[in-house]
Amino acid sequence: MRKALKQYAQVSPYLVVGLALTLAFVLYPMAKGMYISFFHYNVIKPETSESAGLSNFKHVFTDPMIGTALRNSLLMAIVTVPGQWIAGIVLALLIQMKTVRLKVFWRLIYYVPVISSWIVVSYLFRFLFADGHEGMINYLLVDILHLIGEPIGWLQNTGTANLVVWLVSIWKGAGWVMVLYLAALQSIPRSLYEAAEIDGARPAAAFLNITLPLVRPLTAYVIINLVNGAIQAFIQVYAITQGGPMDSTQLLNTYLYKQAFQYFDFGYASAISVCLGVLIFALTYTQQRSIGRDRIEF
Amino acid sequence: MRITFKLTKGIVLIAFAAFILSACGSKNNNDASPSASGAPSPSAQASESASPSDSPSASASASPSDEPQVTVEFWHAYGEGEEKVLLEQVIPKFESVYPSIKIHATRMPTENLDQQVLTAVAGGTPPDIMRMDNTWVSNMAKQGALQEISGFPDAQAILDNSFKGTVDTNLYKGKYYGVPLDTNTRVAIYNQDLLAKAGATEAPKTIDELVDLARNIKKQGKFSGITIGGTNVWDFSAWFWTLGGQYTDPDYTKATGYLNSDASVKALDTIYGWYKEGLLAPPILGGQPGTWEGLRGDKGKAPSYMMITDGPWFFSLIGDADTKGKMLPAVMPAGPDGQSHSVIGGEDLVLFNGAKQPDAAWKFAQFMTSTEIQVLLAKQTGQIPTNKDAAQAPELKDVWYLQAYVDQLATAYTRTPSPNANKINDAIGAAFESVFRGKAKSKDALDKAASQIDGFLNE
Repeated sequence: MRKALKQYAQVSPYLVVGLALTLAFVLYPMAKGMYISFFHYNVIKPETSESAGLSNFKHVFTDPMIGTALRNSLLMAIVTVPGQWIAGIVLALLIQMKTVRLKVFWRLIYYVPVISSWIVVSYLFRFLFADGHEGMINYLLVDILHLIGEPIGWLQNTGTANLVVWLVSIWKGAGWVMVLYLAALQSIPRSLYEAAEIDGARPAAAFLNITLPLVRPLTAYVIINLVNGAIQAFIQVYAITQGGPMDSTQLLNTYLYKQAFQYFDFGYASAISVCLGVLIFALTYTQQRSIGRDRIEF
Repeated sequence: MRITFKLTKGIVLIAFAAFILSACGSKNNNDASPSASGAPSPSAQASESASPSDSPSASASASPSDEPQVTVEFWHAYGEGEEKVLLEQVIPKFESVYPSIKIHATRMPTENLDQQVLTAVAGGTPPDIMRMDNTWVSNMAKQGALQEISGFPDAQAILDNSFKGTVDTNLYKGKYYGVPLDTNTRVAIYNQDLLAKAGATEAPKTIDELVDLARNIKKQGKFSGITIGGTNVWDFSAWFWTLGGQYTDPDYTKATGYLNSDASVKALDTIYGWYKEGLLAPPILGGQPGTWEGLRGDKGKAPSYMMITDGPWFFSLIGDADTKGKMLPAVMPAGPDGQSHSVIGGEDLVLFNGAKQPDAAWKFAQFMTSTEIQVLLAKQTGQIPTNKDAAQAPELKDVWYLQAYVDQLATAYTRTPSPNANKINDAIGAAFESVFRGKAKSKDALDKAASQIDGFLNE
């Protein structure tokens, strides 16, 4: 006991720094956001804010736009989480193959999107998928490959606009998944695969019965992070579609941003964000609990 | 292990409590600070005048000789050509009249500008004075961002000498929070070659004539006779109003019975009919090429839009060489009532709460609204004066494209002035867009928008 206390005294200066940062930049804004959600908040003169009771939260459940935004946020998770995960694993397996040379080069290439700025890649996709013959993709499909007769108004229709948003999300996130799995794959002893080979297992069987079970802790971590990221997605929609056409591609995050910074309705925006926080917590809670429980010993 | 866990929990809780308490403490400090904008804090006073006996207002108006320099932060979103006039002519003139005041002008990007302003004010670093889109003023005033101007010298005189429509944009709850700086509207701009191709020698006088021309030119290939830049209120209103549509009652208190009246439904249906007939250019739903590119041709592509509507900046930005004799400005064709009703735009000068140099900034506002500067800006940039004397100045006749705008202003309407203007305009635009995208019938879309807007107007 005394020893433990002494140890704490020794490390406390280091802990305090992290604690202070967390308090200042995570816990305080979180508490303040919850506080704001109960007010018709005036951001310039907070002292004049009127209490709103639960009316902001009531509005969340009656606003038809919330339904659209929730649908888009959930679709974002349903499409891009498996998309990034599968693309990432496939890339990792490909690079891991014995016959592939220049491993570092490929790793770098696929990791570049991850470290590029969201704004830059979003604008890049916006130009690629521009309407009319001016858009690169349209030019490619219509004028070079002659696959379609008329250029597609990618960003003018809900379905195709969402498709563009999903594509950029998957393209940008796959590299992150790949790097994590590359590290995990390297830690699996080769002997297991050799044994499987001797027993006549095909590569697919080896992957399903050896690789996947052994990287399960990592998979849980990756999935939680991807779900978290998908539900919290913001920049891709903000920069590519601005929620259009007709607000039909708004995500919960872009919609609450619009409420706060275009309509100056910070109370309502905070209420949405509190609900969003609860949603993410609920979606990842079961997986959170299992994290770190199952250690795999080789 | 369990004990140490409890211990960390305890530390976290204690630290959290301490933090909350200290946060409350700092909040109290913040509460005290707004009074500084009323009575300048010692530091602000020191920076304004070296001798503590001088009151701030005296320091700004005293003799220039031994006075310290003050710098006024001025935000604007002038275009490139306009900024050049501002920096090379207007500001040097001001600084030679008031040697003790320096104007530090910052050109802001127009995208997300309202958010940047809000962030700056909330963060306590607003500019002193800003040229602001006049549809924002009442909302910014409602947020508490702006200073009420009646206390400044000669404020009433500036308002009295400005056009009423532009003055009213500064109103919030019966008080004025800015002065009008410039105004504008949109007129029809025709590509003269395509106008001739459609079979006309001069601009059409009525909507029916325009529609005939649009049909003519459509027969000759991939041409569009009418270009509406989008379904938002800035692009769409002029057409909707000219065809007999209305947004609210004349006092801006109610939309039901106006936005969804039979006349409004008919106006919207008429324009939608043009769209289905293929007379409207792609920009109505965000298609390419854009309005200017389609009218003038772009990157080796021939012009395909016979007409667009736009403000005087179309001519001042492109320059006489590419517009005079090629692009024809004209009052929009008249609707059923024999007139056309375009949309009024414009900018106001506003002073911020928390401005460090409000008095010097006000001097700049007085200067910018003076007849001399208003005429100068009109001549050099095509901005239409809000100052009544300046609008009558004979020099304005030299600007060849300006007369159409002045004529158009006589029958132009303003967009619904309200602190909720953003929400109202979005609701109207969404209703129009839903019709053009085939998601709703005109009547249903306008009924829905009208009831939403009633709520925004009563808030």
